[in-house]
Amino acid sequence: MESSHHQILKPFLPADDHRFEFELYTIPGSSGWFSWDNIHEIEKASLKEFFDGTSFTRNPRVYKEYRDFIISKYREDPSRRLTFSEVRRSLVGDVNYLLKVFLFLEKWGLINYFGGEDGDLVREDEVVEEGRWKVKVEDGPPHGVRVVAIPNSLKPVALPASVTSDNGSRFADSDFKMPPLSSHSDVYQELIELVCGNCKERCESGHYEYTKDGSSIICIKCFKNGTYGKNKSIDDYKFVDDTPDNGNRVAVWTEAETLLLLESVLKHGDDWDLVAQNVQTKSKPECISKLIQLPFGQLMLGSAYDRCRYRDTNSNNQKRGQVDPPVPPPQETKDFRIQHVELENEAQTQQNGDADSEGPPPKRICIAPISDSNNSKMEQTDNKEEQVAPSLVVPEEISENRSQLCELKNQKQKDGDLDDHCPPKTDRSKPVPNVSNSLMRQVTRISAVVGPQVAAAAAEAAITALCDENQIPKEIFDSEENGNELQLSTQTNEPDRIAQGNDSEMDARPNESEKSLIPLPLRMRATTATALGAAAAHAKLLAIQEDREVERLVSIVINTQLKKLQYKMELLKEVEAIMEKELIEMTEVEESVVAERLEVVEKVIDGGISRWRVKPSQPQVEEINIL
Amino acid sequence: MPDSSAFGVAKTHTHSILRDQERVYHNMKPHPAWSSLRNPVKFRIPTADNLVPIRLDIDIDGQRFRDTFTWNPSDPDSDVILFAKRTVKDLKLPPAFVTQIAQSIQSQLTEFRSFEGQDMYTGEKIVPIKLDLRVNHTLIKDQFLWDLNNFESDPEEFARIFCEDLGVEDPEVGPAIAFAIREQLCEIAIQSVASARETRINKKGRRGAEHLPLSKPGGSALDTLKLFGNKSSVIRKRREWDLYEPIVDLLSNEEVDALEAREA
Repeated sequence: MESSHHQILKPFLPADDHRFEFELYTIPGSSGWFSWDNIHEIEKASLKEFFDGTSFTRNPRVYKEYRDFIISKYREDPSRRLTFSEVRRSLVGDVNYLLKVFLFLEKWGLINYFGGEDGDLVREDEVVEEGRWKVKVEDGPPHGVRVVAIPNSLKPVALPASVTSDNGSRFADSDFKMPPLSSHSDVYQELIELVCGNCKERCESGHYEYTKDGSSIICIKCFKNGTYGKNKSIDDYKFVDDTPDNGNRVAVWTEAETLLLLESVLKHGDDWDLVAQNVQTKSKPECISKLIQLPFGQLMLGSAYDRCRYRDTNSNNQKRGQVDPPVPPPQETKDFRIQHVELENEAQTQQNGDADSEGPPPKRICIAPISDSNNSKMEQTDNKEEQVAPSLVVPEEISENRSQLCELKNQKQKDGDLDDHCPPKTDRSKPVPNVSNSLMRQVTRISAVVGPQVAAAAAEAAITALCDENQIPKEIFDSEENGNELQLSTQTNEPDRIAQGNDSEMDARPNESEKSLIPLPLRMRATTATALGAAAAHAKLLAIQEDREVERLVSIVINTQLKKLQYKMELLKEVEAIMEKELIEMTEVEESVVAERLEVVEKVIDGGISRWRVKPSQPQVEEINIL
Repeated sequence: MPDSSAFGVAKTHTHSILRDQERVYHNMKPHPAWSSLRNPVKFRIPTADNLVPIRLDIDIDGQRFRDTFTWNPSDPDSDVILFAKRTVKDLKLPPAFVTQIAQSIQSQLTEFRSFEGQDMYTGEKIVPIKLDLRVNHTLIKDQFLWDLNNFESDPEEFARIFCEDLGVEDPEVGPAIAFAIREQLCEIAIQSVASARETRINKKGRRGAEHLPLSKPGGSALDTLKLFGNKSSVIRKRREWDLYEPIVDLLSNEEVDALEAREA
């Protein structure tokens, strides 16, 4: 007997011989979850006794030993049927639990599976009915065949190191293992992932929400098929679009995807079609919104712009204005970042010489960091009066600039198409850096930060305010603006010109040579007012956006809290039901106890010992008598 | 041998009541998971069905009637006399057997019921069950472990698979194996009631002596710690395999006669 066992088991023992480490066995495709190293959820669910920690005689380690032994035993000779009685003599433990494990393994075809046995006889596409299982035998490598490692020895104590990684270590180290607790993601998975209530698949592109309580969701497929669920009709559902830029729903980005996005942004700049192509798994709008949300995304974009010099930053500004509203904070940082980068560029280009710097780079100079502007704004107001005097000297400089500006304009007209893409705003501000007048710089700086329309409105408001003080300026400005308008229309055809007021400030100078009518202090005041107005408008805009964002977030929070409360209520109801049940049980017990007591009392009375209560009181009576 | 038909009667009888019995059980214990195994359980046969093994061996005027079957203790006692009458009629036994059979069953039931309602300690107890029986021409020897905490165990199913695996054709063998298991389990259960009582008395007698090991109930229980501890494998050493291997022998008529002669 004994020797024969040894012979049979021999193939398993020489673990060091690699030829024996892997062998092919056929198991049903449905049992593909099986792994020597792990215990699958199916096993845990089917054989709860081994995983609920009710007894130390049944634990995952013991189960694994049982399982591995039984399967190995079967695979010694897969052609014969392994019987339970053959297995149980070799295993220590309650035969009933052993039987359960055995039947489980048999049910899943891990043992006593004869699907591939007579594969030579049965050809492809022939479905063989064997017992409970439908077996499909195919030519070539059937999908049911899996290469599995045979445990190196029969003693799981000496299991290979790989087992003690992963789950194996948990099972090996601890005798008791609590059943897996339902985690947060289990409970809230439907909320997080928007899983269809019917088919349990993820709703990718959109879903229908049950409007009555908003708790159940079905996917488009189920909706079309008409499977609405119990007591629900087609009218109860509302379509919800799931495209990622749909407000509160944020597409999930893996780290790899984000990395890919960043790389492709560096490579392609803001050519989002190419970027999206590169990222593959995400759409164009998703890529854009992701990059904007990244804390450093704009820096990337900024440097990308450096490479593509001739790209239209202004149009980007406008685009930004359109795309951004849901996420204002990054927008601000973005501005800072660009400015920093551009300041560096400025330094470089200035070194290169003035002639070169007349190109696009100087435009960046105008956008100084806003952080400065706080101080300078203070200065601005403080220096207001002081500035008046020194500024009298300025005209000479201005005239210089004027000539420069004229040159520039000529240049620009020559450049034609190429520079057509250059933002008009930056054109306006070109001469400014060379102006030593800090006030002007502040104005351009601030007005560059806000949108052109805002700056225009602010300037207009400033001018009208000034006009109220004094009648003359109005005429001056009016005449200027008329001239400007003409100039503008002749210069370029771009409709979205920068602020008229600003224009008037800048472009007034060429006219000045002819008229030289506008007193400088007045212009100073107009400029200051414009700057302040623009800044205020911008601040207001930001505040509104911020407000909206806060509102949105608060509503999300409230919604989430409500859902949480709903869940809690449900749980409480359940608990209440359980308590009620228990109460009923308790009352039943109480009743039975009372009945029993009654019975006893009755018996006692029937037994004629009813006067036992009187007896102890008699001595007292006597005592009283004595007393 | 009148055994077979008597078996048939007993079998059908128990199965008809089984459902009632289950319902009673579930009503009484709505939360079986709540009752920890470490706490004492009320006395019952530690299997899925709380059935009492009944063994009859009645000899009247040289006519001997021997039978074994299980009985549901929650059945009304009036069934006992009906069953006795039916058995006597089916097996064409003399009418004197009716009262004898009824009395025997009744007394065994009463004994069983006397333990009901008492605590029994089963905590972490796995007992070896030894089979050594002869049914007609089949001789069976076997040994295996049984968990007293497993209230879902099914000796009948175990016996069925035993016969299937070992190719036993005699239909009487299965029920006989199941009965043998039940009989041993019943005995162990009664022992653990006694030991539970004993420990209670001990506790009352000398307080603070609780650290003393609760006197090993049944005595035959295995050292589960040693068997299932981390250090030992649940796979038996190969030399023990034969010890726990089921053995089925078919005897010839002569051998059976010889054995019966010796038993008598």
